[in-house]
Amino acid sequence: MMGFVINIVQMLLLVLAAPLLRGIISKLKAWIQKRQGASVWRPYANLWKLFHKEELVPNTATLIFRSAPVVAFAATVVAAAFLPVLHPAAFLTLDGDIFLFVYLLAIGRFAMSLGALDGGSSFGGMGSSREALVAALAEAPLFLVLTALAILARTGSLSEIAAWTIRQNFFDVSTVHLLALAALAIVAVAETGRIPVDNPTTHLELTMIHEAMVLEYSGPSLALIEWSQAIKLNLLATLMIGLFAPWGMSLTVTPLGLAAALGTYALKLACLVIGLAVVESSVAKLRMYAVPDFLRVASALAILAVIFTAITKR
Amino acid sequence: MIGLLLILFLSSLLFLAVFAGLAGQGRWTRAFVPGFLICSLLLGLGIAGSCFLNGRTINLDYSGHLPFALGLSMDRLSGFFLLLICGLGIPVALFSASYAEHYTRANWKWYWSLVALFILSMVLVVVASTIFAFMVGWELMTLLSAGLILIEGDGEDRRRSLFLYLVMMHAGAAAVFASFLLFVPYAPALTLAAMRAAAGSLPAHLRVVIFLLSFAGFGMKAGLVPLHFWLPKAHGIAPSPVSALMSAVMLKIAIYGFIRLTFDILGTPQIWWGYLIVVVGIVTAVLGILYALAEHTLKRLLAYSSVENIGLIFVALGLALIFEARGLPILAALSLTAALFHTLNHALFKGLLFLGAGAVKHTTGTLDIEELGGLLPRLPGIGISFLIGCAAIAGLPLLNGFVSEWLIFKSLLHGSVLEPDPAVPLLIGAVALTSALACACFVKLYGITFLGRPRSDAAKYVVAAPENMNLALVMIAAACILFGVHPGVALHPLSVLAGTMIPNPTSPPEIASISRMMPLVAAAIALLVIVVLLLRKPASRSVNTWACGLPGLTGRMQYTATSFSKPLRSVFAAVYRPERKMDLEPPDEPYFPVNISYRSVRTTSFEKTLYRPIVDGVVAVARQLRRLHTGNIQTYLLYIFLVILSLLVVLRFA
Amino acid sequence: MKGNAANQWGPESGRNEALPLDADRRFTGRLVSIFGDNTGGTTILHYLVDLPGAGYGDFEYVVAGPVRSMTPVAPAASWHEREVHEQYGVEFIGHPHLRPLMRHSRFDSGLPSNGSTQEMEESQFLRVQGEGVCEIPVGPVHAGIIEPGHFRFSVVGDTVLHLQLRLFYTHKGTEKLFEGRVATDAVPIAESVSGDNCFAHAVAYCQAVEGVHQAIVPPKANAIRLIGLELERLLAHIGDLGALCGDVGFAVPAAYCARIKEDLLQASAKIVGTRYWRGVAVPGGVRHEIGSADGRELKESIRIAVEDFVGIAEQALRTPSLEDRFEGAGILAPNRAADLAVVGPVARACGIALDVRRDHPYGAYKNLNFDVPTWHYGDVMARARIRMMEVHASARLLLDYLEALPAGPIWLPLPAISTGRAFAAVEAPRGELVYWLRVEEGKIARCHVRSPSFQNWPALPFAVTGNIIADFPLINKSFNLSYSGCDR
Repeated sequence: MMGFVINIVQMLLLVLAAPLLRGIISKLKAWIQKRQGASVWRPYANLWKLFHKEELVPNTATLIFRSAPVVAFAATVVAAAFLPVLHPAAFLTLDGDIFLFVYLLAIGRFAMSLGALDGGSSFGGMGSSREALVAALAEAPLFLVLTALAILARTGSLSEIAAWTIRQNFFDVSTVHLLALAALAIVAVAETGRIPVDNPTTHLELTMIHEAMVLEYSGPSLALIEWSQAIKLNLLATLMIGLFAPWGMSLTVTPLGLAAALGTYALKLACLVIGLAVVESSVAKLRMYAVPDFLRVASALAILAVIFTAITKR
Repeated sequence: MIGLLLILFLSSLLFLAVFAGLAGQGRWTRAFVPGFLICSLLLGLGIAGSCFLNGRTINLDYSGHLPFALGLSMDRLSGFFLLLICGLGIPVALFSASYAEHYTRANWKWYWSLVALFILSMVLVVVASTIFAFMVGWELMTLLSAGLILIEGDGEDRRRSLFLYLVMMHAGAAAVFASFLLFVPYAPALTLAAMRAAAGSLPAHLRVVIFLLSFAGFGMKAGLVPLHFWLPKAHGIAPSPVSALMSAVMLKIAIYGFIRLTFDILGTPQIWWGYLIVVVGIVTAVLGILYALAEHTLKRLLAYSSVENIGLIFVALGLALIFEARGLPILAALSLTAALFHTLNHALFKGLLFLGAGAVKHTTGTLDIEELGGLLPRLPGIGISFLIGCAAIAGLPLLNGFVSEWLIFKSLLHGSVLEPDPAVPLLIGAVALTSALACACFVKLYGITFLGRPRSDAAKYVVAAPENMNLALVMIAAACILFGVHPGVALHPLSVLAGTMIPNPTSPPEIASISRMMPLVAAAIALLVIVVLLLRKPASRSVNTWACGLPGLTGRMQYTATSFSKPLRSVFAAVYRPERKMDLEPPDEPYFPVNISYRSVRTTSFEKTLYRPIVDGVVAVARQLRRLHTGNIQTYLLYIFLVILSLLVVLRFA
Repeated sequence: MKGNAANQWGPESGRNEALPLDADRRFTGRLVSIFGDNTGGTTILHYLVDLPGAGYGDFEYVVAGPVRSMTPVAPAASWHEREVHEQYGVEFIGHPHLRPLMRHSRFDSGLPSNGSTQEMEESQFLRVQGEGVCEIPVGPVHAGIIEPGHFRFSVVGDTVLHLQLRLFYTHKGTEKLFEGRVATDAVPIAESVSGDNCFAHAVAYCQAVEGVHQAIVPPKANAIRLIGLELERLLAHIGDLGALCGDVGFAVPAAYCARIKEDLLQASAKIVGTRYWRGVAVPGGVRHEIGSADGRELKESIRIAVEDFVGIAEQALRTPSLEDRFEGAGILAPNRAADLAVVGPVARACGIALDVRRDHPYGAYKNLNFDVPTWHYGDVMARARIRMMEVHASARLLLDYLEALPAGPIWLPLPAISTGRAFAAVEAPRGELVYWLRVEEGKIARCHVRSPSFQNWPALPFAVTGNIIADFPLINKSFNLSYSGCDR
């Protein structure tokens, strides 16, 4: 029963803390640029504002336009139910949920791509075409990374993989893990639309990927989209933690253990976030046609990771 | 009793074919023919269901009473495929009732007559217990579909495509027939049961030859790369309901044949068979979807996507063979279940999409995506069902496509854990790439066709879709949702079926786990959607799409299908070998051009290096055979008769 | 000047000056501007040409009927002729696109119209034929804080097949505003033509007025003008390089450049009272004294700013990810640049060594020895590099000048000559800026402003075509043209 409550709490944590993560990243980036930056709570204020604004809908739009953000949001939240955060178990678990998790995120992408095309402007089409490019090339390495870890742990469930990894010694980090981590980092950057793949803060319509897709959205729908996007970032960060550094997760459901788990989780998240802020500050965005090359690197790393699993097994 | 019903079912189809050909064409006939077809298909559905679900078997042998070996039998496997034929046949018949209305009197008769016979021929293949009956059905299936293609005109292009189709199909049939004939010295009679009994005594090299011949023959019919190039040509030009039957059902008959021969009759495969199939399957899947991505004609795109899905089914079949050869019956059963479920799913959503394409053609008059746009508000019923089809084929959870893809992934993952060879896990990457490209492809297809604003008058002034069409599509869409949200309905009987093909497995645990998980996920998503909808501010104002301050946007100011797929096409340029050309007018005036035109020729590399010589050869042969090739349906019926006659002769002396 | 008879370039002969044309009827020099003037009911065309070795030449042509268009042989003449056509109704024979340039159809409500405004607007855009070609209309209102301009891209996917510009949304009739004003009082109008280059505009205008009055400007005033002009160049280039980094999502250098630019603006405000040196230049001199203490302070600010800037910018330009974005993007072929007579850093990045400060020195530049740095390739990186080099050069000049400012008055009254014509050219941050002025009785009768942006805009599409559309903002930024300066 307690475990059940914890599973719900950790899922809510992923959903509710997501905007804060975004706020912290922008704060860090501002500091690196020697700016003061907005408050870390700013994303919440922004969501609050958007939820209370009037929504404008383009006249070509059909019901798909307004349902897309809702579907995307729901699918993303349900995907959060599969992730272990505080202890190596999740609200929903399935042997093979690594595939279901990725496909749940794909629902959001599919819906938003159609929503963008429904707006009837070229920007929407441009954004969704570019999103299709990134997604199509990011999916294979993502699957391969998950497969490599699933082979090592001999299970296809995210929670079980985390549980298996905890039992391993931290210093026994295998080549597979390093390669897979590198590949997953690239994929996560691409999937969440961060620099160098996409620039979430740009105002230049023609260079946008995700922002071009949502150009026609306003008010509550935009709030849902922004929130989903923040959750997605949080999910991929937590996925990386869960798969590669789950140590610190509480194996027993005790208040003390959980508090420690929360602390270590926050610490690990902070490391990831700092890494992201530093990377985003030190490179330029890739040329659109160089994005496939970037993702090919991820594929190559993921393929190597898979090949190394075969070597480890022998 | 049930055997009699089967005979009744077959004869009712035969009766309908004759009736539609002879009867007058009053209102009554026009309603009666589709109605009767649906009723007899319902009968077939009942028979199929009782065989597939309850495991009843039928065994009828008329060889003694006839000059040739005609025998009918049904088990779970034939029951399943009969279920597909009848299940898809019903919406197709319903759809055709409206679709065929614009035909001339003569074409209407031919259409219904041939459709009934076409369905009959497919049924014959799956219920045949003798090779004679099987091959008769197999040949008729090809020729009748060819006849149906000719109903919508017989221009030079169509004839060429059709001839290619016939040549390929006959080559395939020859391979299939040859693989059956190799049983002759060992089996007392060419019946399925006799062959099954003889399979054990076949020498090893002969088994290999039989397997390879059947793989080539059935693979050709199914459209495996590199033998797929006839498929988009034939499926692209058939009347849409017939395309639906061809893509959704006829291709599956090839799968039936392959499963029947390899799993049921031959048994005990070698491990490299599986690898061969998996490799061919994955190449087919990736190339198929890449070709589909570059297409902007609705039906050709869908046809290429069929190639992709057939590839996926063969990947699963190959895995089943690998596992069986390795002595892992549970996993083999899992893979086979995945293959069968994907067969069912593909039949559903591809049938839905082809019928949807037919509805688009019927209401707008064009199949070119670049001319469409904004159809959803004009055709809401078609639009929503089509969306479900697209989401299902893209493999999104809560729809049936996801479940079978998940099962394939899961089989591959098992394979990865068990195999020391890293090739198997890499297949996961390839399947993931395929599925992501499919997602992009169907976003393009749906978004450009149904959303945004119309790109031409054809798309702007649309006639309403007839209720029959809406109903046909909604029926299939509902099935897609049912099998997606509650896959257990189909998975449990399918795993039982898989169990009959593979010796002593227990039901794989995945069947139960995914059947439990999907309703849960569906409920969670539905709950969240409802909560958000209830909480969200409902009021919204309709405004012009943001035009950057311009007076307004035109249909031209939207992304086209070509533009949408351009980034991905440039990534995979090696597959397409595009040739682009910009022409300026006047040519030496870069500063003030009067006209600029852009041309991009997409010939696939396969086409350049492999097909061109073959096609040129075929066309050369076609020239020689032109005297035979009249394009006249009567002549084709004569051919059918001749083929049957020659089969008879062969079997008598075999 | 070659002695081609006038009737070879225009249907009318008579008292017209022969244009400097070669045997192929091409200009023997670089076309600077073509504009019209109206005196006593007759329209006179002025052809300003920069002749190699001979300086600027102003060739007049009295219009009495249709005029042969120079556009077919000199594409650079196209916009000028369209402008004259619109302003003076002059027909140019052989012009391939003699459509209105500044007036947008929706303003012509009084005219009989055959269709809706949208159709009329649309008709001016070339429709690229071909399957799957779509148009992306961008602007005039943009997502960012950018001046208004409409860009019509014809694309297949991300590849730009064709780009057409629709500018002049900020056309304010500035040249008309000058007319009737007292020449010595109209500096504020010149300052408002292009906000971030207001000092260059002010100086060019003042020099034109001084030319009419045949005035002598005191050395100290010239020195202060030089400081202002070079500081303006410094500011513009620092801002541009920062914005270029910002456009490729490289936020740190962008933020640093913005900070450095702001520091310099505040230093300016402290020394001369305005951030952009608005109100500093007046005909006859300048209004603000820069004392030695001020000079040292300004020098120190500039030294620190430039040091900071060079550190961050050099590092940024060496970042591989940035190099990858800048190199090879938006290449302007040298022959296109020459045909369209582009000026300023854009020309210099294509290897065309043009600089008014060296070619036609004015003010304090007369005493200087000038090196015009050029770069090749003509891509975004070349334009960034040119700006980098010019930052170095301007900083050196500024530091030298602020070290030892000449003594003396900063303003001298103008001689009382109140009728005449003159033109003046200044090297503004964006390139050659020309003011042509005709004053009657102390009042302005005609003032023509040829901003560098007007000259460079038509070249932009040629740098963009064939690139991917996602690179357009970057290429556009590397040109960094002024809309207001072009539209006037």
